[in-house]
Amino acid sequence: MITIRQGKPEDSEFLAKAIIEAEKSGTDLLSYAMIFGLPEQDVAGMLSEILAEDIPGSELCASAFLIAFSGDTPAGCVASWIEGAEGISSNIIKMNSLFYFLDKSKLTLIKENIKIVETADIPREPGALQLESIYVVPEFRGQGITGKLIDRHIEIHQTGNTSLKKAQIQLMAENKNAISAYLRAGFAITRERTSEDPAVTRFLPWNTRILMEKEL
Amino acid sequence: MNDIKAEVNEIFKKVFNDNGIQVSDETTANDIEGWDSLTHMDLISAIENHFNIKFGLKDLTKMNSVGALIGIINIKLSK
Repeated sequence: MITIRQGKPEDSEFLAKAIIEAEKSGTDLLSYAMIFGLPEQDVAGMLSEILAEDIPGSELCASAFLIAFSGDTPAGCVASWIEGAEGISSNIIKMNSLFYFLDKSKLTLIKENIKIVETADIPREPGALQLESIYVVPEFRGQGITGKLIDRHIEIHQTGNTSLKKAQIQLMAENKNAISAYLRAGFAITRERTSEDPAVTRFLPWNTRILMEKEL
Repeated sequence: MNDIKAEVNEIFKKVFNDNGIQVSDETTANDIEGWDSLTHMDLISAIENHFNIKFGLKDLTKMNSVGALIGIINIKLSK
């Protein structure tokens, strides 16, 4: 039996692991580690600390997550937020938190790395529901957990918000299993961006990012 | 406080390479062209260096407007 509840700061360790696994998309390449020059263990600690601060407006916020549990065991999670609802973009909200942990002597290099990653970037749309860090623990896959979490996020955000028109998911184009799952959930591919910079695959598992949308 | 705002305004002019910038307490990243995650990093770094302060994680997570930023700088300088 799967139950769902909102994330709390005490879930931060699991959520940090989920963000890392979702970022890696089944590969060994963790973009946070490569961009900031940190070992994966340090990235996990950094994300966990930021999640516990519970700052709204991006996926780096414990209460932005819904977590599915099988008994007491976390089985999967999805984060969501309305882009720009806090008055500034999720990218700047995230940078505010991440800056604290950066090695300031490496800022120039980190900026260069971010510029390369941005060559595959699809800007987030203000006012649209963003679904991010979608992760299911391997032993619980195939049970429709992702769909249930996404449906619940949409239901929560639509309550009392009639102006919400669309939900969006960004992912790498080669992530075929996830794309199939989101197509079944009513999402359609609406945009694709391929980086022309060969260096991008030092930081991202692949060079093409896609946007999937669902009209609400 | 006004002195701090004037100094912060000068930092904004340098970071965004725009001598016409005039910030107010209500100014956010939406109001200044080119204020993205990269220039934000430059901005925070320049402010730390100029005032010789170091922002904590909790300070940084509250910086959603220039007014909030100036408030935090003021607290840091008064300690």
